[in-house]
Amino acid sequence: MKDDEELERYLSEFRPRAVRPLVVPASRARAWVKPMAAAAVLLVCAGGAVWYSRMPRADRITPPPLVVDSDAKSDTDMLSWFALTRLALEDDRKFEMELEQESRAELPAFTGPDSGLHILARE
Amino acid sequence: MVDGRVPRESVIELYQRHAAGLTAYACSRGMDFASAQDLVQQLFLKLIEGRVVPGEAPASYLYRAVRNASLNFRRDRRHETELPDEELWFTHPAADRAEILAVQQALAELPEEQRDTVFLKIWGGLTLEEIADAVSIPLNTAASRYRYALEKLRERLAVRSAKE
Repeated sequence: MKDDEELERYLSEFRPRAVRPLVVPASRARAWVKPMAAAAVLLVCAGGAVWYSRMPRADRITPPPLVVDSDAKSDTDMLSWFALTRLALEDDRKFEMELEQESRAELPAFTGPDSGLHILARE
Repeated sequence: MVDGRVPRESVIELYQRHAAGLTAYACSRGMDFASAQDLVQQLFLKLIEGRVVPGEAPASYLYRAVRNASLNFRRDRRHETELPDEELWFTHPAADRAEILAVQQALAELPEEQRDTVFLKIWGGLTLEEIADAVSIPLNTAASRYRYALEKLRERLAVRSAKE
């Protein structure tokens, strides 16, 4: 190899070893697709959660709180029990009449034309 | 090029033209063939994705990028055991393995900056101006490095021929 040109020619006969073809993964080629899809899923989930939380639901309808005038009732009960006890001790006959009146007011009537007893008797 | 980004087809064309030379260049800088090949693939994938922009002289840019990456590679692996220097990164239609290894050895024994210049000129197909740009040196320096490199190569290869 006398001169530079000859040496250059000799060296250039050596070729770089072949390399594998350029592999472009689909995910790399469209790198924006995954983040966009993830953002869309998050958006849908967030929207769904908001919608769900605001939607009126049957099982979520709470009945209005039952207002029980417990004090008033208990007062009445207390009074009636107290009065009846006193009556029972003081006037036995009047107590009996009072009980009868109470039972007629509270218990179902059997003497009326449409009472259960009348209907049973007819049958 | 849109915003300096190279179209996908042009990147593939650049790969077909320069990938083998770039891989061999990385090997000449101390990388094993598989790692060099991966490095070059990664570089071109970055080009396709627009993560790096080569500018007006893509070949110069590519060789400069491989040069820097190989420096990082060697720095990161400086504590690892070196691989045996028997790997071929050249082929030749007539030369045997020993002759190919001899040329590789002669190249490897050159000072790094001279080896770069020879590689970029002969196998990269770069002009001396492009080499100067790729290695960030004045044109005259590139020319003199090339001349010195050829002289040393001639001596080493002549000695080898004489021994045989």
